[in-house]
Amino acid sequence: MNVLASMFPSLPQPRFMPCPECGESLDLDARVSHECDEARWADYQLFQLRDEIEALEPQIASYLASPRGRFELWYAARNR
Amino acid sequence: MSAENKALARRFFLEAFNDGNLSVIDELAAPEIVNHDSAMPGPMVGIDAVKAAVAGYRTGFPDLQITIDEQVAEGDRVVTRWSARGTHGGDLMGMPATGKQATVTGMTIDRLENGRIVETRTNWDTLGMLQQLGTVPALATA
Repeated sequence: MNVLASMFPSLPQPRFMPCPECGESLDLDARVSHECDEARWADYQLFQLRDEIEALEPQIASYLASPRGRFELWYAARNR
Repeated sequence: MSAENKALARRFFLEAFNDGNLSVIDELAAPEIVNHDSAMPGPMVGIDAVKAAVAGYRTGFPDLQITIDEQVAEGDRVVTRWSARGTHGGDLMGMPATGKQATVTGMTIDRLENGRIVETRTNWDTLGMLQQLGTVPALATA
């Protein structure tokens, strides 16, 4: 139990909760039989990674501008 | 008159909240409208404040869809019981988007004068929304 849970020990479980895999809002009764829609699952997982995805391109650019990255570019060009 | 009032209250949900047509609020609400929202610390006065509130919810849940479950009208008042579902795709009450879908229920009492809403009071399941978005823990049932 995390800190927040210990602060609110008597809160009831809401009737609806999002699926932890695809984010879809599920009624209590539907949770057991729920199967994630593949497209929704992919969208949700990508959404959770959006910060890392956004940061990837600048990180690559930064790496390629570094001495080691420039060497990698030169080496790749030489072997092409 | 009750049927007209119910239809007007329904339009507010369907056109303003669901379609994001904020200009319809000029048609449906009186300029001095007072909006009481259980999730807000105090009343919001005036059409611009109401538009800002609707826009705020739609920013948090861009695909927000409210379903009217039941309406009762008496005199100058309309009670609407509703369910709302949307994906938390933008900032809401300081919470960054989670991508999670949430479903909440609520009730709104509108008071009308001269064919416009002059006062609206809404109580809705804010705690349930916070639990669904993971801001407040939802404890497992025993």
